[in-house]
Amino acid sequence: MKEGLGWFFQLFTGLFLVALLGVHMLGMHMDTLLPRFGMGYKDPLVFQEVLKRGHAPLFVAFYVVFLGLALYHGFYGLRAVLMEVWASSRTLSSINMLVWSLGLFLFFLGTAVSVGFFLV
Amino acid sequence: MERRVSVKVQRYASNGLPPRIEQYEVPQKEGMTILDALMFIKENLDGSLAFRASCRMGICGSCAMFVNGYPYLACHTQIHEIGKQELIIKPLPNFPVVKDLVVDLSSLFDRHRTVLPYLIRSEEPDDTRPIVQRPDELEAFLKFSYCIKCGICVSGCPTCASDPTFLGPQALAQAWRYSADNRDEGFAKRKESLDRPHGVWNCHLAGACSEACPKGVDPALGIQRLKRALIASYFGLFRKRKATLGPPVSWEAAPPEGAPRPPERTVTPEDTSLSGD
Repeated sequence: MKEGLGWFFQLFTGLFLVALLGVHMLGMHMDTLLPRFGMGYKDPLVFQEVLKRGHAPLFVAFYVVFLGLALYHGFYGLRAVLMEVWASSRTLSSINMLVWSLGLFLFFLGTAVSVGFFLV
Repeated sequence: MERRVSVKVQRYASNGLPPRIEQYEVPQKEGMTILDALMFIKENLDGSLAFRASCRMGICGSCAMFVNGYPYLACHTQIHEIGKQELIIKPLPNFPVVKDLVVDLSSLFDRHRTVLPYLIRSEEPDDTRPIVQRPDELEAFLKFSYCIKCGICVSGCPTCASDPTFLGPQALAQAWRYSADNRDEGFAKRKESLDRPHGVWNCHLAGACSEACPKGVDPALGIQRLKRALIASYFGLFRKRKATLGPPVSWEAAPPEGAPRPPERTVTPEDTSLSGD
């Protein structure tokens, strides 16, 4: 992948994260605000509500997309830090491999938990 | 009573011994620059002090150094601007030290060369037809052309401090200076050195380069414009007005009526020893 496209995608994911985090904060942690406008859940952190969301396809899709974007954004930043700490053309492929493998592992792990819970 | 300033200079001789600080007392005169103080030390107190200087007017970029924790051009900064009666002068950070305040700038020039810092044209130049450039097209790159390659931006850059393979603000700003020029057609060639690991994308916009630049070049702005142009080029959106050639100029033609004339020759080649004999 072109170096600049990776950087551009990080900008792009950053914008999406702001939007998705906004949805998450409004729905989960500002739960007294939305019901006043006839939206959202009452007591969203109660276990029964968590179970309900875990079985809703829209929420599962939201979790997987959120996870993928957050992991990309964070691991691209980590890669930039590692590239500066070990600044050498020889270490670049090792850093890429480490970051991609760890990111993909966490993505599949998170996806398996969300989708697995949905299917149960 | 004579006003005096205490000047502490970091001394280092590449002989394996660690750097040391030496203190000198210099009589301070009105308008005295840091370079004047160093000249006074070299001429009157310690002839072995090494520093680089040439033009004494902020043009050559030789005398950049680290004064009280901030990079300055020594010839361009008066002592009273520092606001202290004690100056601690060290060589520029992020460059290897050769001796005392002299640093090795070859890495700066090497990185500068990699971005092809010159106009690249697809056609052979036609000396009889000037390239037309509008004032707004000149404005697009003018500020970036004031770079004197002093290395101050690189010494202030936190990314250059941790990543010696990073192209650095000086080279990147110059890449934009030429890419933004409507006479240039070399952006595609320049991309090879910019769009790679440790290239333009490693700039994290700390802005220290623009703050420190003594010539007001604003490398951080150039780098952001370069990033935008690179991303736009992926989608075929990077465009600038192609330079056009003006009408042919005849150097033999007489100037139009009323145009100012050059002064007449008062000395002919035959009158001087430069005539060849």
